[in-house]
Amino acid sequence: MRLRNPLRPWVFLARRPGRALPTAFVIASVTLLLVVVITPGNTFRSTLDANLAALDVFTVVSPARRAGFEPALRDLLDRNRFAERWVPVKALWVRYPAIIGEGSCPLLLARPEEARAVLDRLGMKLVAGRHASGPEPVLVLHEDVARARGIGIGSRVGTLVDPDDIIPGSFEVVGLVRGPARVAVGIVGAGVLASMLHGRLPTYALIYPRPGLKEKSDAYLHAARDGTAPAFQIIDAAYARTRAERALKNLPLLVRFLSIATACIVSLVVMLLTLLSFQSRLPQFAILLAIGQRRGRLLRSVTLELSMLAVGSWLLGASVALAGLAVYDVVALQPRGILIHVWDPGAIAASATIPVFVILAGLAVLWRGMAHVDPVSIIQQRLP
Amino acid sequence: MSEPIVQARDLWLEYGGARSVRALRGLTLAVEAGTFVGIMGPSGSGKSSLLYALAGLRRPTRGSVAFQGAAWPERIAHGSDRRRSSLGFVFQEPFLVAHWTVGENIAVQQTKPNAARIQALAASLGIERLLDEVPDRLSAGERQRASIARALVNDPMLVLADEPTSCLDTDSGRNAMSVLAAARRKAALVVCSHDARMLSGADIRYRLEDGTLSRDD
Repeated sequence: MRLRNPLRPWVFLARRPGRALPTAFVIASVTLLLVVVITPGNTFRSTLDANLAALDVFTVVSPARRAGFEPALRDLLDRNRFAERWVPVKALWVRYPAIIGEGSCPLLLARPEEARAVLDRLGMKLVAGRHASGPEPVLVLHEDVARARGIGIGSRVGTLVDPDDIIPGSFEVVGLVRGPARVAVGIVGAGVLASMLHGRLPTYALIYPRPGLKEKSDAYLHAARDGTAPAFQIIDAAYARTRAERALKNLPLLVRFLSIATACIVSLVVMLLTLLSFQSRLPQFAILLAIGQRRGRLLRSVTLELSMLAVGSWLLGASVALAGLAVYDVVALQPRGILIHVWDPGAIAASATIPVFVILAGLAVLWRGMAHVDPVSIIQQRLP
Repeated sequence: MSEPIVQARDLWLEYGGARSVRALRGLTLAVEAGTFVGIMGPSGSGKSSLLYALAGLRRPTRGSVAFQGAAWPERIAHGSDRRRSSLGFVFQEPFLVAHWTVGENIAVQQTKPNAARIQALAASLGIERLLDEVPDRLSAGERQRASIARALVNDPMLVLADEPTSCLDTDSGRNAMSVLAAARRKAALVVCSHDARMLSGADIRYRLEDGTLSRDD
């Protein structure tokens, strides 16, 4: 004889799976829906992080009110003993389609001998074509950005190709790179037209810190800017992220609203299902109460049943959602250069409100139902 | 004279509001340890109401019920460990939980399931080979035996049985009564039945009519 305590919560779930199925289906499918709806929201942050990743490696300094670097500012940058060196560049943006609207990754126009060094410093690897060199205006582009724009080696970008573009002139794409930072690096070239088009672009300085001294280098720049030095702007990771966070600060409001509204609706549905399930098991509870089982013991058993069901269904729904998102990422998003974190702790945490609300709502139904059971009335109704 | 296991004093039980029905009318009864009390009466005479009141499942409108000298808890729906450990109730229908095995239906009454006790009891009731079966696979008589085992598994002080043979034919009913009487050991036994033949082994017999109890000699 296999003798086990029959009030263990999984006994009912294992032996009457059909009765638990509607609740499990509701919880799992709504969890799936919520995770699938919330997770793509991280594409904004993921894209932003990739576009700003270069600022984790170097800091950008720009003269605040002048187009060029006056000697005093050059001198200030030269005196930064935490920096290895600094490199003047012209900076633009490469726009590309994002999941909603457009993203922009930096395009750094450097001297030919510096173009490759920028990419090496960022840990970027050439995956197609060649590095930027020669007398013509050319650029090397992150492969994701190229994919998102639908361009490749030999394509040309710029206002001379597409008047809506924001890159002056015309640049040929000669190489594609892969790596953590979404960036494009190009050279202006030696032509008269290119010099005319790009000569008046503002100049920036890329400050290459010594290994492990980026924070100190940034601190030096901040201290110098806040003192009596010529006015200049520091664009470091903290500054850029603060600006970006401001743009995304209302996103959590939407996520919270979605998760709480969904959890409330699911809880109401599950409350109804729990009530129906409780009603169908009322004779069982009535008999057990009549033969002396304590209400608390029965309540604990059915609450654990509901908790296991809610958590299990939530795990199932979240797992299916993650698997679906992973497939969607490979099939639809990656080919369009759209970044997404399939495993998004925020989305999972938001969906976790569902089992919590379900358990609380179910507990209220069970507690109220169990408190009002009259065993004798139910037994007498069941008698022939 | 020993202390009664259960004692009802001037017990009144009314149901309903304005058009209330008086199920029991000032009934007094004391059941001592080891006694087999049989209560006969026609349908609607208040037999079930009396057993529910003795078990603490119905609160008296007036009067009192004391089990081992103490009243039952006020909140019936809260259940009671005392009822589970000291009292066995055999209902007119077996009322076994359908998705539990017979063994589990019996074991649920024990704080710690005791396989040896359950097997011994099942053997005395002739259902030892059915312990791993679910109730749907049992005959009516086997299910009633299982419900008797559930009532007796904790060696209760008092066993109450409400028409325990009503779903059985005469022979099976007699058989169920004999196993109930034998397996109860030293427990006091109160059996209500409309069939006098089922109470032939009772030490004391009462007749219950219109909520009033009288000795049936």
